[in-house]
Amino acid sequence: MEIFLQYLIAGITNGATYALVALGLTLLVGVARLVNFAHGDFFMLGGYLLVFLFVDKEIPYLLSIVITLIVMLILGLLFERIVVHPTINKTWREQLVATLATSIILSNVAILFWGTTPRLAPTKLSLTILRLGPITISSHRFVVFFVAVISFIALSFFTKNTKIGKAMRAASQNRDACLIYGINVNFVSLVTVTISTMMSGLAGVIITPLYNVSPTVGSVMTLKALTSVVMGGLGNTTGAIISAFILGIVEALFSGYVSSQYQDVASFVIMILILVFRPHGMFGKKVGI
Amino acid sequence: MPLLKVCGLTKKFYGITAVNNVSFAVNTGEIVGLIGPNGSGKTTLFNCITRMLIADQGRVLFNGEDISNFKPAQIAQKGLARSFHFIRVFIDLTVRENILVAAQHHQQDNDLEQIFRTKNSRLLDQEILIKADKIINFIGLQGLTNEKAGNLSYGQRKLLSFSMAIIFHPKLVLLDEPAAAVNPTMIKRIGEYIRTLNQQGITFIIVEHNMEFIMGLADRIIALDQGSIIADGLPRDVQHDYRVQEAYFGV
Amino acid sequence: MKAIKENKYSIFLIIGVLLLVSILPLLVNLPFVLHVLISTLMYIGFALSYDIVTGQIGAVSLAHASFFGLGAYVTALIGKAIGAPFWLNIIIATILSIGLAIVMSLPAFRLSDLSFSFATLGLALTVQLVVKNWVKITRGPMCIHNVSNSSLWFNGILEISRTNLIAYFYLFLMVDIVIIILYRLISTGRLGRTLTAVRNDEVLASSVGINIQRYKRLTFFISAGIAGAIGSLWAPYISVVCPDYLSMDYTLNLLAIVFIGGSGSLLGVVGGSILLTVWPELLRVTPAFRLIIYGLFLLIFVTSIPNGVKGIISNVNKRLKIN
Repeated sequence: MEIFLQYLIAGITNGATYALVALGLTLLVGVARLVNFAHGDFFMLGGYLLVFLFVDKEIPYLLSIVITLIVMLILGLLFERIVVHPTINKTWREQLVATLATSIILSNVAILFWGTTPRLAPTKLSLTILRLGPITISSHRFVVFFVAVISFIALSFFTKNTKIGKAMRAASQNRDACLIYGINVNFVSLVTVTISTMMSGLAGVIITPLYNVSPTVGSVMTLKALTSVVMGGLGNTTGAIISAFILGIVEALFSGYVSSQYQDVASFVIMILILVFRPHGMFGKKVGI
Repeated sequence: MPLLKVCGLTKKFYGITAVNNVSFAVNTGEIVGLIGPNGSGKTTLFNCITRMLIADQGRVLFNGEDISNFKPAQIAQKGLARSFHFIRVFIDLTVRENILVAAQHHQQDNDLEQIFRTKNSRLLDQEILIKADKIINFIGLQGLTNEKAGNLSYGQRKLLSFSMAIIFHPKLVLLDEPAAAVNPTMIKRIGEYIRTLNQQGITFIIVEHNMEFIMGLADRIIALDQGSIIADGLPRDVQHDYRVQEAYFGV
Repeated sequence: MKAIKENKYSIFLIIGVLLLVSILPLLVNLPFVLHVLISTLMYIGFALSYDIVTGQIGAVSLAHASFFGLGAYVTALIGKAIGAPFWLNIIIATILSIGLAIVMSLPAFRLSDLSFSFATLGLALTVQLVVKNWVKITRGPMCIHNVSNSSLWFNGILEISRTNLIAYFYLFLMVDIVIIILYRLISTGRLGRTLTAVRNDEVLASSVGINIQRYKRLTFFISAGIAGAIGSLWAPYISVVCPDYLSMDYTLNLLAIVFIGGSGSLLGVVGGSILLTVWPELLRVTPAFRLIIYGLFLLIFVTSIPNGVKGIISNVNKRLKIN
């Protein structure tokens, strides 16, 4: 039982991280109709930037986070202008290659700067172990959960109560109608992509004190986020969050009870099953071919 | 035995019934017009017959054979061709290649023969090439034989997709608005083609909004409204049917 | 991504150039030059096999490195166990790669477009994880070293070994010519038209009687088989086989070659392979730096220059003709 709870807590932490990444991807899929292959690489960059600033340059923890998020904001803006905007009206093939190219660039830039060794950014909190009866928990896990929940609430408030947030929701329902009603789709796209990028980066920032970040983690993370998005149903943010937690917990249990080496395989299998048996939520055309 | 028999076909989208328990039969040699206001389920009906959409209920018999569980490609190979409302052509292929590719899947040689260009395969190549050039002349696109289909005008694409539907000598052709957004001369030409082909034994079901065109062409009219058949009979009778009038004009 | 109309004679042009190149080793017998030539030839065949599925039928597979890696591992393991002649290695590697492709196609080809690409990525990462962690057989990250190079060619008349680079060069040259002819046979004629039709519009293709699944499978299996054969030849040449062989990096290299050169075009893919293999070898850049450059070029081409380098060349040709 204790072991089960231990795994469950690890699963919830994973789930919170996946949920943050998946949430950004849902926004992007909903508003810009773009499946971003580089989404997980922003997660990876967030993690590395924290390691670089906080561990290597010894900049205070909170300041490191702020700087990282500012860098993610700038990257998000650049990504929208350079990649998303020019391919928005092209076929899925061009979009795939363009975002894949971005993923190649980001992950290899990370290799050039920081090498291929996995890195960790341990903080005071992550090293403080709490004992709840037989269970031991790193205090940082609460931070992860807390930050994730705050982000969900903030995002939900943003999309429901601000003008640009409402425009985002409108655009995710009907892009063409937005053009007709004079909503500035360009600006909406810019804001959406930037928020999406920052959320992915934030997820990297909050998990790196607990788990290693490595340059190749990006595409794995993209796949996991995508699995959550498809599982939850297109554009359904609540669905994506719940699916991300399910995925995180299933993975943790699989890793604990079956095999930790094949932990990722579990999520790939889930992804393929979801894609095969519930594909219509996302990419599937409803034709009987 | 009717050529096509549709029994109780029903298709719902998220609770909206697009096609509601539709049954009808079409005999060999007929030209049947399918009319109805926008959203009455004509295109959905076509899609269900050709299995581009999977119907919720009902069966489709073609030539006495139940095709309800066939794949679209199998249905085409049985001799049931169709054209699309939004004109589709293969944009990277030339006009001639478009017609060839539409014809070639009704030939009896395997992929290996095709890859290694066996004698049999080359003879078949010649055969369809002659057929394709014939039909290009028939529809009057001979000047554009080697032009990419992606560069054609809307009307030219329409003629091309029309000829792609008839090239493999189908028994039955479903045409989705062949006269829409086409100039009057072209409409006349399309009507003539349909009549010529009909005399050669091809049966047609035609969805059309152009009443003058379809009433002059069809032997029989089926009218749909909100997914159900509201009239089925001679063009004259259907035109004056009060339910059809009501569906169109809300009288 | 539109394919470009292929010049009827491009195959003769390419084979002619390859035959000209074949004199090169007799003139410059430097190991480094030969290595660059062999790498280029390897990538020509590898990229053409990738383009059969990605450029011709338009299913962007991200699992192509799996087949290459499988071919390499199979050859290395057979070499350690019994030491079969190279042609037997190739046959076994090809069959096993097609077997893997069949297994992958079961879920993957129930999906279309983007979902297919994602599923193949998931499958490729799974295969790589298995190879990395199945240490008993594959030695995992420790790699398999000294891959048998005792393969005999023509009953010992000519021995192919790491030291006999010229023999390797001609071996790859012959393999490339076979692949080029096969590529040409598949991408033209009736089969070629069918593949283009499926790439352009799956719904219309099925309405004229094309069995889409069948052609997707056919191209996927052929391309997997070729990739496995190339992996089988590459392993004894490089003499080390690592889990990296199955990594996304190889697939991304191919993606860059195909889309920068011009997908669906023989000249484009061959040109892309030469362009993207020669300079990194000459400048001896790190793989990471090379991939960054590829990524940048991919981005530029996809967002602003359709049809790749081949497209630029044919546009220039058109303008010259008009003026």
